[in-house]
Amino acid sequence: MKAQLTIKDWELLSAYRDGELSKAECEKLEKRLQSDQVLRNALSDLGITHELLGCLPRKQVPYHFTLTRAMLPQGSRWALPLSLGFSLASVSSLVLILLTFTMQLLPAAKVSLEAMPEAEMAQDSAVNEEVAGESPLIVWGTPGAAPEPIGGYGGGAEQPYVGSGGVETYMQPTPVAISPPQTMVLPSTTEEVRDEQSEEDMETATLMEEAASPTMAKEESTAESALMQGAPVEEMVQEEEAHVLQATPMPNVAEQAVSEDSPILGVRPADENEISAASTSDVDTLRTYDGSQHAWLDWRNPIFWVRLGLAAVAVVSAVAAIYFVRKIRS
Amino acid sequence: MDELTLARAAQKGELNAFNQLVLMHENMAFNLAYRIMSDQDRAADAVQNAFISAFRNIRQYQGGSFRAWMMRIVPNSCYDELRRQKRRPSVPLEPYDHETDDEIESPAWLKDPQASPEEQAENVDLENAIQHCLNDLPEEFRTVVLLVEVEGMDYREASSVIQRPEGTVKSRLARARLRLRDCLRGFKELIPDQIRLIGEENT
Repeated sequence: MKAQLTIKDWELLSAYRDGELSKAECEKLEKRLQSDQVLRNALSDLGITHELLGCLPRKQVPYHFTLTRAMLPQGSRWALPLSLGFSLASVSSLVLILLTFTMQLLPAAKVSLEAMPEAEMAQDSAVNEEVAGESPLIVWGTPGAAPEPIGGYGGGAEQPYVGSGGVETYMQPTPVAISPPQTMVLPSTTEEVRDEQSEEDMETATLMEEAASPTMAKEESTAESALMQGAPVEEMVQEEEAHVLQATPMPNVAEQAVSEDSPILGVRPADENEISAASTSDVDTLRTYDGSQHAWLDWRNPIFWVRLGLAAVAVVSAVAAIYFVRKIRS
Repeated sequence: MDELTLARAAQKGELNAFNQLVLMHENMAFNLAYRIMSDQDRAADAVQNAFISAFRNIRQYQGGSFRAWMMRIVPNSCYDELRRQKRRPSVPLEPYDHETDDEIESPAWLKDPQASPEEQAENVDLENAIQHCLNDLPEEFRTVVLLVEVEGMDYREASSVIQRPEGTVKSRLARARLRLRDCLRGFKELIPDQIRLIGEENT
């Protein structure tokens, strides 16, 4: 006989009191009850507790709890489908955002996603080519050396170099695709290109006039004196060619730009600074369209705006879904 | 119409059918709520909220005992209301004398102000004592002992209400009864002789 009951004993007694024990458990417990006074006292206490709880009076309801339509919250019918719809919209937007990032990582998709900015660049280049259909005029010369007169008064096929004329000019092909990119100049608009072209033409014409005047007279007099002296025409031609080759080294635009007082045409230092600045900015622009360098942060990229719109839809939908879920729970 | 037919009609949105179910179970729901909350007005509010919640979630009823399904909502509504009360200051269940810091042996809340005859006063005291002991029980024990001891449910139905196995009902009920016995020993003088004799007969 135990002096104190365990919780297990209490559970058995409680179930026995409620008739929830099996037949075998009942017989076993009844045998123990015959010999265990503590167990019998505990069963007595359970009976008293049960009777006391049964003494609790039944309360009458103060009023009937029947419902009316006015008691029911309005709009609850649509709250659930709306919350589900907004949740779906929010999740779909997030998935689409992730999809755009994933597609950007794929090589084939990268081309399609970034085709727009590159297409814009190609269009700009095409405009440049179109504008620069007339190749920019570049005048080569030697700093400090007097330009050789070419052409002039004519003189027939035998005397092509007799007479005065302008300096020699070459037409440079349009620098569309230039490597390295620092040397590339991409005017932003067609008007700018035309303005630069016209300014260069005017400068060239002015310099040609200035450079031609002293040397032309000299060469003219030289040729005339040679003719007067009866020198052979072929020798004169060879001499003239050698003189022209000697006086026309490989052009260096940068050097020409330094000597502003030189009659040789080139780029003025002021213009050179502008060109350099423009080149730098255009190169930076090109770099920003490079997909490997944070193109997704560039607001000029249309994908950026697509992602921004999707993010806004996701946030608004999530807020609306939370609102309707709370409405349902309330 | 039987309970299941009314429930199916209520699931289609028929409020009258649901109200018939309300009339069938409101007495039990209110008594359960009253024993949990020990306040008539708050119990009525909790029951009303429970029925509104039941109608809104009537589609979740899949059959079986509608009473068990309904009584599952009532205790939850009551305990939600009790938690809201805890956030606001209220009169403690075991009042203390603030000057001596001792528990008041015969607190005023045990007395019914409307009691006039002595016998009625004793019955009210006993009821208040039992209610006091019930309030001392943890929520999970209190619900089980009220469902089985007061409302007369068997273990299976009680397990359906609390959504726990029958073994859990058995264990919680035994522990709740043990605590009630210990608590009610403190009110031995209030226990009628008739009940004492019944207890002795059981042994």
